[in-house]
Amino acid sequence: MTNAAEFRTCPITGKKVFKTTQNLMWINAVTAVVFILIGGIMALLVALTRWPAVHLLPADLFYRFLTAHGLNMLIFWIVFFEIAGLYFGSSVLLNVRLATPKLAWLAYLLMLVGAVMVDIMVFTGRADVMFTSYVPLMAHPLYYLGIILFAVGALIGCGIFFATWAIARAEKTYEGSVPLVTFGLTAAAIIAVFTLSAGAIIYIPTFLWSLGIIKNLDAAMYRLIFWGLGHSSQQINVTAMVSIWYLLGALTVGAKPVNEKICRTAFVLYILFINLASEHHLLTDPTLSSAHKIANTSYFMYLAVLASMIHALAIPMALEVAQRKNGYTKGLFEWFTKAPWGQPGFPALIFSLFIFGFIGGITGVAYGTEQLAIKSHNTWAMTGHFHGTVVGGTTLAFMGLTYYVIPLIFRRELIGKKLATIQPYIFGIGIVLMSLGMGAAGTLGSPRRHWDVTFAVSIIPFSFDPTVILFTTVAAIGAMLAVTGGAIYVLVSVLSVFFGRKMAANEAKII
Amino acid sequence: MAEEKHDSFPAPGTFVIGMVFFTLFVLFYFLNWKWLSMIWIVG
Amino acid sequence: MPITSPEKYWWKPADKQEKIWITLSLIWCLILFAMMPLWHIYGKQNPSAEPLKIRPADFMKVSNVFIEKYKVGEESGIAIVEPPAGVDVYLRGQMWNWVPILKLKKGVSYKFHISSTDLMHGFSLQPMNMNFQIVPGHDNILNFTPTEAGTFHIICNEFCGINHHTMVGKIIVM
Repeated sequence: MTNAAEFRTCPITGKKVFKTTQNLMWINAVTAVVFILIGGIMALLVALTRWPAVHLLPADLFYRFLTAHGLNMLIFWIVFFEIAGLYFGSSVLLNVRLATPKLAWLAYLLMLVGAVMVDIMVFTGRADVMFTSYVPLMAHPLYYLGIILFAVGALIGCGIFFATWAIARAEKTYEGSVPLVTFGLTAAAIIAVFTLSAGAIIYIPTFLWSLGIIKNLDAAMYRLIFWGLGHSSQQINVTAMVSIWYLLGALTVGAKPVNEKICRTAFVLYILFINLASEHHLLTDPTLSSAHKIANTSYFMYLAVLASMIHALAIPMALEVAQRKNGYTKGLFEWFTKAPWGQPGFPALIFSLFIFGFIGGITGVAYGTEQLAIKSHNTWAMTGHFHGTVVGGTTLAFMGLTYYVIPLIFRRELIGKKLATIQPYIFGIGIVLMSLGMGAAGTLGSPRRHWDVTFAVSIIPFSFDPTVILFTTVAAIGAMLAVTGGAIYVLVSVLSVFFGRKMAANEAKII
Repeated sequence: MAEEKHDSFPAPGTFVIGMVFFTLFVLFYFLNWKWLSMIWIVG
Repeated sequence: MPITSPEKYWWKPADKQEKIWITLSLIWCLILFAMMPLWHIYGKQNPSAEPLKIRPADFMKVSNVFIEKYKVGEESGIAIVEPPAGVDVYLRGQMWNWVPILKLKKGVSYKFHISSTDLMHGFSLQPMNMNFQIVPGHDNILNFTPTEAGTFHIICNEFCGINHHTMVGKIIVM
């Protein structure tokens, strides 16, 4: 094991990068990319099946691979990347060694073993239960155990983040308040703790139920607590993504927050209110009263919406102010048109911000309204919504950041800079087409998680309006573009990390 | 008048983008209520 | 920079632009909030507000009684049922049917009890696109008033096993 005190000083930011932190970030980030590769192959196969003109897979494989797609993307890719992000936000940004690196390796191993267990169960057909695994649909006990192990590992990762924070505070390795990015990641880690706790509360009894130890598990109760994990984990993603937006703004145009008070208050609103939004999955369920639904999904949730609205102003505002300072002051939009569009980080940031806000955010608030859920619940429009938030938003922001992490932290020069630069455009445009196609088809009634929207084999004949098929095709074409963008991302990052030119210690080149 | 107002903003371009976003948000939200009002009565 | 500690006193008043945006956003959030209770008062489409538990076996029994009593025919092996006005309607989601096929009258209000006897199902009435979660052990009580005549289909939009995509039901409104 490397000496915990060994570090180098970053020639660009002046931050101390400890060897242990670097190794742990490396292993978590590389593992994340492996899972996005698995999830991406599944995405391709699932999209080619939903495309009525192709209809590739048989039904059983479609549902199996859809299950795998959800888990590998939404959980494994994102959480491994976030753990790397937490170690960066604490150790690197606060100039301090990572607390208990051995425990961090244990956390990594638990997550890896858990993820591999889940994937084995899914791919061998012992867990065809979808991402949500709604009771009474039952998977193999090892599936639930895998998720529990993964969650425990992630929880330890959060603990290490807080412990590193505490060491930095005790040893005064930073002055005054923590940087905004660390503050945002702290909010994400706090949300992660109660999210993962909800996961433990629901998956432990479900695991025992799958073993036959517990006889009855109420299906509605499962849904309620599951979404405490399922939706809140998306709130971790949102919070981490917003932090990364601030980071990308700084890395690309030197943007700094215009008003720290406003940005930080918005993060606090996330911590306080965002978890209540989980209940908007249950708006058309037969289990909650209207008052309960309105209280939980509306008033308080809208304070979290307010927080997003605040970030939606603060981030472009920071970019504009920085660009105006860089000399682009003409008219209303010179700061925007003369931005570094030829650098992967900037288009990734802008696409992420716009797709999240204009597609994911607006639809999310509308569909999460008590009565409006009647029109959208479980339709493909929902799938369109969360591909706008978690794929066009979170994943694209993470991708953009990767192109900076590789030279800055892993000290390797990017291989395929041109490819990396066009990647956010291909991926972003693909996700826009896909989300809008899904949204339009879903608004016309097309269901999510469905093998055959032409209903060729149903006993009672039924067919949708042909426009549904048209929009489904648009979504599928968008998916093909997005998969291409994803493949470029995997290619560039893997090649660079393993075969990129090793950079000299004092080489101050970002990209 | 409008010009004067913009001058006092540190980020006038952002303000315009924000207003476009806001308008789309309001339109999409109420369009959904319109669609809701067209279905069967249920309660 | 967002990656370095801010200056010592960062608790500063907001700029005019920020104030305008935040005020506007807050007002909008309050409108979003108000719309839901307002729709309960003035709107005609609201989700179930009567949470009720029912054991799957019991639901099977009452829905079978309902089918036997008002059955008027059969299609593809599924009973067609025409309940008179004022009678509670039982609709059962099961792998992979919606039982029974219903014949209803336009403009009449029917009290629906929808539940499942096995897995979770998604009641999705087409082409109007009305969607409700159907949970085994729980009765989704909904007062429907069909507003137009025609043939309507219920598809399933919650994954319920290998033949999920074949699950289609029917409501005929006269």
